[in-house]
Order: sequence, then C-alpha cells, then structure tokens
Amino acid sequence: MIKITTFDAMVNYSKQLLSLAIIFAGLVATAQKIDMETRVEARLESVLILNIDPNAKIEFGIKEINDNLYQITKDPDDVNFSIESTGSWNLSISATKPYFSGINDTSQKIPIDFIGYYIENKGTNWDNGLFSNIANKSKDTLLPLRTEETMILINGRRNNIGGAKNNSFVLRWKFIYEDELTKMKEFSNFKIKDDYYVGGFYITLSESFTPYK
Amino acid sequence: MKKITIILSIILAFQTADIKAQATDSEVVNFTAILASVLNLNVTSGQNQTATFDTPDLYNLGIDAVGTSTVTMESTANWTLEINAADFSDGAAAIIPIDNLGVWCEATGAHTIGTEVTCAYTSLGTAMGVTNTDQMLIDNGTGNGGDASDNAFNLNWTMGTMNGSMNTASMFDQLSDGTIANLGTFTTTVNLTLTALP
Repeated sequence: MIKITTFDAMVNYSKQLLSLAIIFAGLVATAQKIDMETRVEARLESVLILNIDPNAKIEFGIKEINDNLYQITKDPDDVNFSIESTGSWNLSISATKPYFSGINDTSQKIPIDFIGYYIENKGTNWDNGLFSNIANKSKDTLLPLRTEETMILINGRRNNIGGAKNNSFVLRWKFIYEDELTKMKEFSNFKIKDDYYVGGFYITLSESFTPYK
Repeated sequence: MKKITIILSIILAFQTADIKAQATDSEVVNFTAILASVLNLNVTSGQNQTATFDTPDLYNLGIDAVGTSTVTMESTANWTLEINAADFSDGAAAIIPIDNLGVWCEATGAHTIGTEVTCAYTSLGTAMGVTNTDQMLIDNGTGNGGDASDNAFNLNWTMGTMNGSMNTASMFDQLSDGTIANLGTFTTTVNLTLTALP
C-alpha cells in the first residue's frame, strides 16, 4: 500500500504549476514578429544614343526646262531622328564635302550651301531657347549647310535629358535660293546640268558640360 | 521431529508469502507535452537583387524581371507578411524613390493564393510599389499556419515599370525632372516582416 504524505502532495502540485507556467509562456509567445532583409541594388548607367537612318543622305534632282529656268525633279528627303540620353547633350551638323556631286556625271558639282536646313522639334522637350529644354538655332531660321561643324541644338537650363518621346526631331532640307534672291542669281550662274545630285552630312551628338545639369 | 518439521514448514511458508506481498508496487511517470509556438521566415534564395539600367528601353519602360526571392514560412499560427524599404540611396544626397521598385507574389507551396492566403499583387501588371511604411503583401485567408512545404512563395521584383501602385513616371522622366539627381549605384534594404496572428 502506497501512502501519499502532505509533502508528496505539495511536490506534485508544484510540478503541475511549473507545467502550466511553461504552457502559458508558450501561448503568450505566439504574438511575435520576424524580420528578414533583402538587399536591392540599382545601377543607373550612362546612355547617349542617336537614332537615325545610317544611310541618310541629301539627294535632289534638277532639270533645266529653259534658259535659266530649272525644275526640281526630286526634293531631298526629310530625316527623322531622335536622341536618348541620361545626361544633357548638344547636337551639331556639318557637310561631309563642300559640294554636291552629280550621280550620273560625277564631274558635276554644286556648292554645299545650295541647300539649307532647319530642325523641327517633335518631342516633348521644349526648344524655346536656353531657358527651356533646348536652344534650337534653326528655329524660324534656315541655316546654310557648311563643312564646318555648326552646333544647332544646345542643352537648355531645364536640361534635355530623356528618351525618344522627349527628343524627337525632323531635319528638313530646303533650297537656299528659295529664300535668298542673291542665291538665286548665283544658282543661275552655275549652269547646272540635268542630273540627280547627292551629298553627305554628319550629325554629331555630344555630352553637354553646361552647369545646368 | 515431526512437530519440528511442521513448524519449519509453516515458517518457510510465511516467509515466501511475505516476499510475494512486497513484489507489487506502482509509481507514476508524468509526461507533459508542450506545443510551443513556431514562427520562422526564411529567404531561401535571391537575397541580393541587382537592377541595371543601361539602355534607353530600360530607362523608358523599366525592368520587368529584376529577379526573384524565394521565401518560406513555418508557423504554428496564422500569419501575415508585410514589406517596407527606405528610398534607394547612392550614399550621398541622391535618391531613387522606393516606389520605383515593385513586387508581386506567386505561391509555390501547398497553400494557394485565394484560399489559405491572400495577396492582391499576383502579376507584373498589378505589382505593388514598395513604400517606406509597411504594406500588407501576403495575408491570412482560410488559415495559413503550416510548414515550409505549405508556405512557399516567389517574390518577383520589378523596377521602373510603372505597373500597379508603382511610381507612374519613367526613370528617364525622373532623371529629367531632377527627382533622380544623378547616375550611379543606388542601394536599399527591403524589410519583410512575418507576424503571427493571435
């Protein structure tokens, strides 16, 4: 026969209290949080891209109808281009040679400033001068084509960073004689033969180092 | 002699009976089964992510798939997963707003989104733009307590894609308007907080 003394009962009671305390501590511990971390790195690298047809050229056709009366049989094609840049930029244009050459008769030459040009802005970056995004030197002005590099689009105070939708342009060619009477006289002295004439040009895109951006 | 023999037999019989009476005894062994709570969050892969912007398209349209972090949860209780991060920093003054970083979830364990768990960001198009303060990424559905085979998820990262609640301006536009002041390498730490529900 086993006898349970008062001392044994107290020991058992203490053990049960301890068990309950452990279980209660476990229940209380459920309101907990755990944090984990993931490291993310973003690298923004420099981009400066000119999107243009690499085969773009200036080509036009002329035919003499009568003495000193010429007909333009082919106008030069407009050139669409866009710029994508993470930094501010400038753009300049120059002719590859000082003259246009006849396609059928390469000995025929017309001075390069026979053609002028202007750049029309089609993007969302404004070209309203140095206080806007871009200063467009050809805005409302026909510039003669030259072999010297001429800076046409210049970074403005609001900076011209952006993609193609921001920086989209059309380079339009125009015969100088249409606007300048002196050129018309010069033109008539060339004794141009009927032919198609072609010339090349460079578009140079460069990073802007103005302090604006 | 006969009497002596009888007496000895009686004594022996009593001794044997006494030994048999002492062989029956009993003790009690007390078992206590303690079911303590368990709550574990493990990032099993993809703890470091890198997004490199080096083409106009990436600056215009963002990076759809930066990478994936795989996470598992082991919990005896139902749980929630929240997310926050500071803005990207280049270590100097320049920042990239953190909502350019997006995340969306896929369940790869037994617990599925829409039943045991809920998540409002289950595709690239509905990605959550991460913010500086906690946002609920995965919540309890019909009961999501379970082990890692139940609670396994892909956290898919995207950046600059302007999806869901992400920043609506392209990286190009933010560079242009000065929100992002310069190029370079920017970093942030994304915090995932697993909380056991009471």
